[in-house]
Amino acid sequence: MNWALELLGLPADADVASVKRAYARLLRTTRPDEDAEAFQRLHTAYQQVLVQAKAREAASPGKVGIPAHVADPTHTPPAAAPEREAATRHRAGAGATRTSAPVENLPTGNPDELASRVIQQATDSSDERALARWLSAQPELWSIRLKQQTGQLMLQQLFRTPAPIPPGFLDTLLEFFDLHQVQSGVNPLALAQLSQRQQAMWYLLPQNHRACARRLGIPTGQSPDDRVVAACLRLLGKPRRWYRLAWPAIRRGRVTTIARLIHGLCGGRLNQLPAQIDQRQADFWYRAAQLTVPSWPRFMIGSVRALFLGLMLVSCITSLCALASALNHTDVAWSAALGTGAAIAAGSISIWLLYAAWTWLDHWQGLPEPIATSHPWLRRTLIPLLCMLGIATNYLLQSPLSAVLIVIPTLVLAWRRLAHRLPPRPARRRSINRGVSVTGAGFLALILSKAAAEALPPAFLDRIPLTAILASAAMCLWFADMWRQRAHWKARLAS
Amino acid sequence: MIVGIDLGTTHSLIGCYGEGGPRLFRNALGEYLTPSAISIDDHGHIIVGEAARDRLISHPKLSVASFKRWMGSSRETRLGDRSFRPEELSALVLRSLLADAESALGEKVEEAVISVPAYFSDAQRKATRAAGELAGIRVERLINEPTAAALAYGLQEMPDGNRFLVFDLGGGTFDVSILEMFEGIVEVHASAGDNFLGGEDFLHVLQTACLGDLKISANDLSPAELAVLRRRLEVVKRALSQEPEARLEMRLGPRELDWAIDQERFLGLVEPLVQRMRAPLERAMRDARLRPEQLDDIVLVGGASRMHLVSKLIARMFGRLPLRHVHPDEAIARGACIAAGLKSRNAKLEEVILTDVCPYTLGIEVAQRHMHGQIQNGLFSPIIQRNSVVPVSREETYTPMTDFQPMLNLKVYQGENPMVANNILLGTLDIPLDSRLAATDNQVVVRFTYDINGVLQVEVTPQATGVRHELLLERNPGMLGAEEIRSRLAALSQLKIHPRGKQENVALLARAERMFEENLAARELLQQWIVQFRQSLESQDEQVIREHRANFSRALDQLEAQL
Repeated sequence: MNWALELLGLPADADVASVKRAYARLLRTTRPDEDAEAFQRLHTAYQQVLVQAKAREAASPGKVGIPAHVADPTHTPPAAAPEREAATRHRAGAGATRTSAPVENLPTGNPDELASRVIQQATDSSDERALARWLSAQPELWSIRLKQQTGQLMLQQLFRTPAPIPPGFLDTLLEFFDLHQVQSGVNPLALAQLSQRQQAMWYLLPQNHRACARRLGIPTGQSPDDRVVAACLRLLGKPRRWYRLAWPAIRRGRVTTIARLIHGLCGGRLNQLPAQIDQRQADFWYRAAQLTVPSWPRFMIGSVRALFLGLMLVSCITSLCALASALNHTDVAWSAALGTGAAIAAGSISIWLLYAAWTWLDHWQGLPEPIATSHPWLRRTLIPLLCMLGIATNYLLQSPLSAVLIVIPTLVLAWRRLAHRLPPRPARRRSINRGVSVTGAGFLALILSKAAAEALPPAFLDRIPLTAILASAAMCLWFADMWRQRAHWKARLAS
Repeated sequence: MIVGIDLGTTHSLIGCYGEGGPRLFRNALGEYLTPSAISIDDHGHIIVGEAARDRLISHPKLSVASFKRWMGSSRETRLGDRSFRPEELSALVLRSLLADAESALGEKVEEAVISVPAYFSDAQRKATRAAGELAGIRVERLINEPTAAALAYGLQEMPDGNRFLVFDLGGGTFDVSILEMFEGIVEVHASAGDNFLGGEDFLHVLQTACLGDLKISANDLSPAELAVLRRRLEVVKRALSQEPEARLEMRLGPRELDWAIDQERFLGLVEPLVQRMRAPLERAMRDARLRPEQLDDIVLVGGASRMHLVSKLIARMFGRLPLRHVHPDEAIARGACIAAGLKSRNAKLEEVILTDVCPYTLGIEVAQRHMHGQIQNGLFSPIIQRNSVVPVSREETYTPMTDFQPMLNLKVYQGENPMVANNILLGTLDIPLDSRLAATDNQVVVRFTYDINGVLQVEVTPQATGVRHELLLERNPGMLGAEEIRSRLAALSQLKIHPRGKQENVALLARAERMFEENLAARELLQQWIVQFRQSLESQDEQVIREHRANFSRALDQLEAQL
């Protein structure tokens, strides 16, 4: 037997009236203001049994659920106002036919058709206020029942076939139908996705490009905003080809604009982009705009820009030389000028390549330990390998300068690796800790170096090459990082 | 003796549960309704009630009203050389009410049940309790206003097996409750409301429209002139409930005002306010899982529910007309008296049991990780759902966001929005976790307990340590601590309230002074009368004063009728 029925002392087929009577009887011994826990138990049991009893009664329509209530017209005091008379009349009517109480002067309507009309209005409305006004003016929606049904149906329709409704309008709708709240039973994540999809549909309509630019904060350049948005959308609609990449890459702010547009269309979830947008194209531009994460798209864009810069410099120098020769009527050393130009172009490209390589390396090394990458062992041991390479250069190739050039970036890399992989902590504590540790380390280094200088013979320091000192510092940092990550090590070894 | 108190925005009442049911006490002026207004006279004495409301016009800088709307905030009001918190102003009203009760009962009152709007938040409820303490009484219970009104209605009508809706539109707050009565049990199914919607807002709309039509800026009017105007507009507002058109003709300082408004225009102006009443009604019906035709009655309480548009709204939404045979001004106070009788276990009420609900959702802020690894912050995770029957205790288990997390910052919110940014922050709690454990081993159990008085207790227990942490919501800004209540109580008890015996004189003088401000024509006459009455008061001869008072009062009545 069910514990709730047992608590109320009822048979399994108890009707609503007897459930209520049993609850009332027990409530007199367990009052809510005296024994909170017992009351809670009683109330839970009551709710449970009541739901069952109501469901049973709904299933067997022969029985009347609510205890028959006989309204007594003399029950109300003598009426003074005409509306009171109307109320009394109504009470009498309601009492006589309780199960199907006639509802006076309520507007009737088809909620399905009403829901479609609401969606249509939301699509056509010019601003949120107008929509809110329209909604509150609808006579059908004044009826509590019709409004509830319409709200539910509207949401169902939208989930089936999203309409181009901007988010603010959807919020207005949800607020009016009181669906944007914790107990509306609508999954907030599903709602957020719907909102995103509808927003994207709305942005894609040509008449909304200008509003789209404004909302996404797309910078106003020379051309009007809507033309920028239209151009970006055209580009995103075509499949990815290398020759389509060059022109947007060298235009100021265009990559950011495209990325913002993509973000506005999908909220960062590229698999939810509208069908008109080429996925690969969108993926390329989205990754190209992420400055902190090195990627192929970003490398390509940078390369195009470096190449363009180089070409510009070469053409500038050439034209300056031509101008000089034209003004002075003298011959210029064309080969020398072209050589300089080429060197500058090559320089700009190689600086870019170095920078790209460094950011990639830095990012790769700074990734948290649990993230899986292609060469996990190389990632872990890169710093010792680089240190060994530096020392080998020093001793085997007898080239201290190139050894130092290898080891210094290694040291920086080791430091950044350690700093990046620190676990996130509350900001205040971290700064204090760091300040304390840096000061302490500084003092310690000062004392140790002083002691070393006093203790060691003067020639000793000259015998230790700079490479070895730097390499050992890098190794220390690397070891500190590995020690920090020991929990992951253990987990990996255990598995 | 436990008394029941209705501490309203515009009016307050006090009573107790006597032999023949609820019994209300009259104030010194013989009225049940004491206006919730405070004023300070030239000697630093406190004036409460009708006289204070009259002094809003004659001494606007020394008088204040409608302070219930500021309850739960730390806003201070300056009166003369002292500033008061809303709790203190309410406490002064309570003290005056208690004096009336004590003189009627002939014994000391120490405990009270005070009614609050159902939709009052945690901070507002605590402020009401603090006001009771500042007035020197123990607040045994806070009862929700619509529930109180339902008690009064239910015990008067004794409808068994009935479901009804109480529509409570007071001076400053709007509440809706749906209740069921069976076998002597009064069960609240759902409550909803709006804490900033009441008769005062309708008046404000009328004032804006009037000043706009007459091309007067509210800043050009002195506080006294504005108070005069509001008083007259209140009359216009009431007239509009009865007649199709109302007219305002008056002198306001140097200006002659002549303004008329018809019902249709008024309805158009207050349309936004009417719209705001729809949502709580709809929400309460949905939460109670009832169809409109399943309701047996709709009961209107609160002074502002006399407005014609309220019946119209009910008719449009429910397809029927509300009942009006409950006294809208006194229903809540009577219900509070019944609640006081319940509390003191009055033999007559042995059969009546009341169960109430928590009108809002309570929960904490959480973050959620999507499938793609993105984290969404600021989500609201409800623990106690709104309209749960109180007392209620619920617990949920939460997992920290990351492994080895050293600390969990718990934020407690009240509200209905899925995002916490749109809800009300009640308090925060930092819980230290075991930073050696992975997230799944570091879960915490959060238990919310909401008691019958609407006080929330939060307990957090990390599963790994088992140490219990408790959140003390009293520490919130805008709330008085126990220490501060004690010091303020001491300061407040030094303030002198006009002795009850002399209140009639004070009220009469205040009325004369108000009329002096309002009417330019009769100023000299009024001034003469006031001086004469003051002279009589100085004579301290009770016989003379009583006779003079009766004459003076009659003369003022006649004068007001003429004007």
